Amino acid sequence: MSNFQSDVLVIGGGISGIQASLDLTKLGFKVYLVEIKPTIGGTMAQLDKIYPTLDCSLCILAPKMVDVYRDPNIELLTYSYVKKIDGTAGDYKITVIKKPRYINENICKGCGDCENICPVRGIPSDFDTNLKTRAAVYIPFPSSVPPVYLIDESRCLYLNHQICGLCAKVCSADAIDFFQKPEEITLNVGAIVIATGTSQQMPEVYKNFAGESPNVLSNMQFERLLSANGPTVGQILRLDDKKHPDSIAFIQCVGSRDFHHPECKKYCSAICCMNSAKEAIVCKEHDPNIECYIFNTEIRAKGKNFNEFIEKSKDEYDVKYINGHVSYIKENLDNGKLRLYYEDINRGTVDNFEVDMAVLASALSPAPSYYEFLKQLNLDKNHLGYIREEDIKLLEKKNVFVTGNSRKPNDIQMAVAEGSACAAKISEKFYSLRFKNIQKVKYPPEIPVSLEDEPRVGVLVCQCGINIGGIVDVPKVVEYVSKLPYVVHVEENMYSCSSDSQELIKKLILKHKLNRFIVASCTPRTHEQLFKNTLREVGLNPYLFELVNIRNQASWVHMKEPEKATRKACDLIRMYLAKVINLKPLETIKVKVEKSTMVIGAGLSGITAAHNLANQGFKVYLIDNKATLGGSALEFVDLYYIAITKNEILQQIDDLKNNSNVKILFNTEIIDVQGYVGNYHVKVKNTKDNSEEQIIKVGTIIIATGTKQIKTIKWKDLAEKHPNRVFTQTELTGMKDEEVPKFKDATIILCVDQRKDKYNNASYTKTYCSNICCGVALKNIEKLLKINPDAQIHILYRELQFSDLNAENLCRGLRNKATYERYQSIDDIKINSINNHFHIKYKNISAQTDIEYDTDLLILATPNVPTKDTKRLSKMLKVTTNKDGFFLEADAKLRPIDFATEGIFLCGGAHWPKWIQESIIQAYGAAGRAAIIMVKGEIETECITSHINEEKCIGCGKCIEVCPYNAIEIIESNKQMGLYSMKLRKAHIIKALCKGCGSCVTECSVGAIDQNHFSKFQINKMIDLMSNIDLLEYESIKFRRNYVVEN
Amino acid sequence: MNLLNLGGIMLLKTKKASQYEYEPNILVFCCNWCSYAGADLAGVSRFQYPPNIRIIRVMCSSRVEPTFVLRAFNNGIDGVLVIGCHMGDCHYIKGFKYTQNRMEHLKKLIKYIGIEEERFELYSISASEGKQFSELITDFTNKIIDLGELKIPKKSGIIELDYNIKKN
Repeated sequence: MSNFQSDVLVIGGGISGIQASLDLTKLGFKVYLVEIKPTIGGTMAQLDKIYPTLDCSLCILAPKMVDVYRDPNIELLTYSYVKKIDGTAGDYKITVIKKPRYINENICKGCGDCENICPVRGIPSDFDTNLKTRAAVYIPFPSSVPPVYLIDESRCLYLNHQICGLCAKVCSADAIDFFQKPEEITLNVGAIVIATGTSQQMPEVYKNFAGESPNVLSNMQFERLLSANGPTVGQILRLDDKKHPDSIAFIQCVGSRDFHHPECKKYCSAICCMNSAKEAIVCKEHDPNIECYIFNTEIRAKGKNFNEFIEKSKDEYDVKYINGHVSYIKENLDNGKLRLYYEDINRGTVDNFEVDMAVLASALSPAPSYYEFLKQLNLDKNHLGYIREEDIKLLEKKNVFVTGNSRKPNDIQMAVAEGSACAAKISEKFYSLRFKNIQKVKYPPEIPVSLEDEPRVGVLVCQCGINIGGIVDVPKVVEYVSKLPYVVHVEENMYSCSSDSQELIKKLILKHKLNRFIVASCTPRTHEQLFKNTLREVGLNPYLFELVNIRNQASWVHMKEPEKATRKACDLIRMYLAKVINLKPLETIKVKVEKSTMVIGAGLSGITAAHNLANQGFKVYLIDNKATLGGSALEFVDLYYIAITKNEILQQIDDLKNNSNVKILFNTEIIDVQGYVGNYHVKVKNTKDNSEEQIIKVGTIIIATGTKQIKTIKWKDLAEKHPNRVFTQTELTGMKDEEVPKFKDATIILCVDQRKDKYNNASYTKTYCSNICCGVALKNIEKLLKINPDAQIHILYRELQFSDLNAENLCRGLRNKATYERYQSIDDIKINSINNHFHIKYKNISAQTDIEYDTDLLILATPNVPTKDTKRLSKMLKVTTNKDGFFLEADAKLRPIDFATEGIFLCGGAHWPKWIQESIIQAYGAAGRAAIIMVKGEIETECITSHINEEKCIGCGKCIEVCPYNAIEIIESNKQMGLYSMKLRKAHIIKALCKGCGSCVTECSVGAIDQNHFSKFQINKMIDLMSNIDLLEYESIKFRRNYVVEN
Repeated sequence: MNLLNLGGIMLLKTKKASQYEYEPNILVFCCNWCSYAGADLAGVSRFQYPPNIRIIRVMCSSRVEPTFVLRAFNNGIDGVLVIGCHMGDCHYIKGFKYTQNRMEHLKKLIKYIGIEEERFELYSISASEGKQFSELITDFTNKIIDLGELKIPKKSGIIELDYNIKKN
């Protein structure tokens, strides 16, 4: 361990790589993030919306990208690739080649002057999936990280023919460097995370789907078409004649689940069904008159509430689903439409059909660079083109971790959980090396500034090359600002964000004894932190600063009205001046964190999380209301062939029992939970031995209470009458072979009492799909065949929700051993019990006829529901559940294992019924997220929080209702007033939990709450100074109030 | 309602009106995570819109107090826009939902006072909707120009309201 390197290399800057990097630095490891493209963000940045929330993809991704960019412990190497991996586990020597951008990354301001003048145009843009064009000098998309341009060396006139060079002439920052060479960088790292992501085949590959037609798009291309910053600015248009389409066909399984064509993938790409449903809904939202058809063999919507999403698209948006395989598409040259030839499974016919546009749900495959790594690491791909699961295990021993779409096609939610899981695994292995290489910046002691001090404001007005200065008359602005009250010094400069400007700011603050500062330049979303850090370096509180956005909101959007843009810039600076002189220095408060976790539920997820955290050096209390470890998963584990074996789980259980960091509490129930992140007081009681209640202090809580299968309601009578011939799937898996009654014919019925739709709408039917039944059925077929190899096994199914990488193989392998029979409505299945067997009559949807047969055993896939403790726990922990009673995560996509309430995490079946492999990933992820809070022993609170004036508070509790983070509590106290004692109720804000949205401030009807940095007074003054007023009238406006009284 | 108390801004407005052609003043509240980012994107993409708006950034649209809007009208500002995120995008989970409820009530109040309710709107803009942002601002500005300068009617029922605004 001592010779291990503590740094980590993350290859790939997609969402999984970003999540892994951010978590790793928080856990105390320096990260090198290598990305082959010029920007991080990966596939998610290209998406328009995400399912099932229909959120804007970039909205939720961009803040994470900026976080990566700002993190001093992430070294971002974009436009670079890994050339060589040398060395041994724990001490890798990596050679990275940084390709030349021909633009100096540190100087480029991202203004875009070079792109505007570049004469080479019309180059297909890779980011916009070739639907949009760009110049030879370009930035992939406006919010790229890093926000700098690059020159396409294959197209640049100067680089190829030594002519032009216009960009170098217009670049006022002198950032263009035509003589840049590829740079070789050597890194020493201890661990590697492979997150190379996925790529989608373009439609041109599919000749029989008219792939060369401009109206046939891939899923990803269509996503760009929908995007507001895409090629048609968010309008849905046919690309050749720019006409609005009346009908769009979405064709599923193009190039995947295909065993016949060598260029096609043999696996299910897992995300396409949901993706197409989402795109169809977005289409309908754009224009309800567009007819959307989804041609599918079967819908595989595997995930939390995904089935409801599909049903929603059918019911609310009238998206039409056609059960059938499209064999080919031909362009109709007469009317420019596309004619689809397809087989309709439900009607048993072959038909054709004309649409205006077709969207192919093309197969996902690993990114091309992925195979390079496999070669570097001396590994082979399996027949599906992915890394073998056995190899993943071996690699993890060598400190190489594979995550996200590099392991198998997956959606964003899983990629995020897996990124966190990688961080947790690395932290477990390298726990003694935490914070070894982490940079800590030391700041000088702060200059005391209070509200009573006379404000001395410095203002820097940025020219931003010609971006601001070209339109806004900067000298005039400077002259105007100099006359404003409290402004001590104002100056213009070329680039306020450059490093010499930072020095200038520091000098000005010291020279003029400034105590507040304004920079008028670009957007605070990217640059505020930079200036805040500069202020800290000179000893000024960073919250005495405001960034006025006169580029994105004045010069760039009013290019034809320079005079008005100048006036707007003056107005904005005046408004922010009103704010800045009323700002208060803010301090972060450090809250001590208990370095211990309580894991609730000792199933597989629970023990995985506990094992990981204990090995990371944290105290773990593992509690369960039963007296066993391992939970239900121990019985099914063999199904998951390679993910984890039973022996490995048993080994883990042994480890746990012997680990001094772990305290296992069996037969224990939680009675009460008090406190907040870092300081939870959990009251527990042993239900068996009637011992005393005890209070355990923990910093974080992980919920892993799992899920359980319920009994059937539809065939309740049958199940009660024949308890040893009718089972649920879990009951059968739990049985020993000899306990299963003798049978010759067995029937497994899937989707019993679940997946509500128009054919199956009994009142007791659950709306959701339990996701795991189809997979468990496979396991049960094997089990039944082992007991009686000659048995006939029927599987009555609606759609197989089985989209794991090797699922297709497993299903097809068992096809000749069991018969798969498709039904549509569960009411079509009639079961009569005759003597010792059942007579089944049902309508087969493929054959369109009634089929009758006798069977001995009935195995039913009934829904999985949350365990009975869920409701009680959710109340005690103040976390929410969804309509089905499962715990509700903070965000379905980017925070799948966090709760909105900080310090509580979620994994496994408590989140949603899921496969063992996914549960394990989530468990590691939850452990990693919990470790982040505990690793430093303290957490810093946000500065921009709300605060309560207790004298005004009447204790009504309205603020508690609106607080999304449960950060407000009511404190009751008794106040002695002479002879009488009065009960007082006062709201109190827990600083550790407040995120500073300000909802409570607005809700408070007595004005007792105010927000730091966005106070009532500050905003009111901004409003007052907004109107276009002459300088003479300043005197009449009171800029500041008498703070001696107020604070 | 005595507008002169707030610093003679109304005086100025009349003076302004005589000197220049009519230019409306529009106040826009944007949330940090979605609509402000949308406004930034409009800038990056150079989508042009009329220069009459002034944006005040808040962390979440739910921070926008109804009194801010009333104060703006009180100060003679011709139109107020509150722009938040799309339903479900909220960085603070459900902030925008609260904003919606509050602004619905506020709209009724504004109508009751006698100000044209079109002068105040609540919209949603996501971080990728630069084009939509510029279109929204253009449309709204044109609407305000059509409505003309803000005239606050003298009505007896609003004295308390005025007091509340000034108190903060």
